[in-house]
Amino acid sequence: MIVNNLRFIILCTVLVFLQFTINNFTIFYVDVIAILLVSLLLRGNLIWLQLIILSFIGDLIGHWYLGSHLLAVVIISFFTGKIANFYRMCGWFPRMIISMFYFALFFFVIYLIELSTHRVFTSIDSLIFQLLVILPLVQLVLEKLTVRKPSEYYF
Amino acid sequence: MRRFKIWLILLSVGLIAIDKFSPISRIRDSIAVFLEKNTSLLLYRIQSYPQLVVLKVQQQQALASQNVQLKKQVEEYSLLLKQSRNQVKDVKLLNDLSQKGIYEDFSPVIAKAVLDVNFFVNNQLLIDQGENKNIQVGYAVVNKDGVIGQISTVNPNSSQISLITNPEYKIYVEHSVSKSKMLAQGAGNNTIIVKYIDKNDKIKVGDILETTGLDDVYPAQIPVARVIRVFYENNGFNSAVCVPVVDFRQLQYVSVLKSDS
Repeated sequence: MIVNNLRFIILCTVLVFLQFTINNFTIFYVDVIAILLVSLLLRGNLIWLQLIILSFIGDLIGHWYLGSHLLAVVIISFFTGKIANFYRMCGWFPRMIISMFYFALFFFVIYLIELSTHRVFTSIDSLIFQLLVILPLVQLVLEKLTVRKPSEYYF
Repeated sequence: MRRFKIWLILLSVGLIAIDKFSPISRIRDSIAVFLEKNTSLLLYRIQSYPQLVVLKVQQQQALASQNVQLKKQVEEYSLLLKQSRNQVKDVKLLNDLSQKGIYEDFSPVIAKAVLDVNFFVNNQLLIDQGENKNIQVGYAVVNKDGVIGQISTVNPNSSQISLITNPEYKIYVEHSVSKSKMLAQGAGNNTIIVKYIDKNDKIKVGDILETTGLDDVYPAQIPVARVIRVFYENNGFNSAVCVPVVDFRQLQYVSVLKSDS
């Protein structure tokens, strides 16, 4: 368990570093932690503390207000409850499509929050970049990191 | 679970409100701006470093080549300046000598020496005055330091001088101190040899040999050569090897002495 958590912490650190690098050195403003949050949510093996901590990290390393990610995740979680089982059974391609859809939804919620707080950082370019590049990459890494058992997935 | 989620929503909305209306977000933003600024600066430096290096190298190379060219020019100009100063000085000294009456019974003609290695090899020297200045074969050629030689060939606008180091050239000299007369002959290779020196003549290394003034070619007491070696020959006389007092390689102007008599 410790080893798995360690792997997850390393993954989060790498993703944070990746997000920081992309946001500071490219024209895109990405939210890699959000992708991770959506993926975790879709997998169904929810540890809420993990999600809360991750969403706070996502807020802190970006320009979002504290609680934005958490609000978006909680709102999204209302729609992911039934699809989690289907998601687990799918192959990598349907998984990616589902992840893309939910991430777009997440992005939309975040965008609404940004609009309501008069502080918008999201853009279509960034969304496309995240959907087509970052999300498959994170999915791939998660596939490689997870240890599958017949009934459960854990890090 | 639904309750928990609603509580979470309320919590997050509250957090957003607190963050928006408190200085926390400003602190975060200022930190983020600071980080972004520094990372952008770092990125710019990293991106521009190769260009900077290449530019520096190119500039350094250009400056180095310019520097070399400028150094060459400075050397050339300093040499020209030095030559010009020496020439002016030589001409002035030669004029002074003639004004002071050192060359009595002689009328000097100042000529410029044309330094040519081919002439030096043959112990000869070329000057830029000839028949146009009424120079004739046999005239003495001196400068401020001493005797150079004698005119051997005259052309319309130039003349050849047979240097005193020429093996075919002989000059009558006397010791500057003891005034004992002797005959010096060129030995080539920038040396002059004096033979048949009486053993009683106390000639030693460093002594100066002068013209006698008896040959109607040179005025008296003009330095000719400096003794560098004295040795005994098996015929009862001493011999001396001398070098000219004039450095032929640095000649600028010479004075051709026309004998009035």
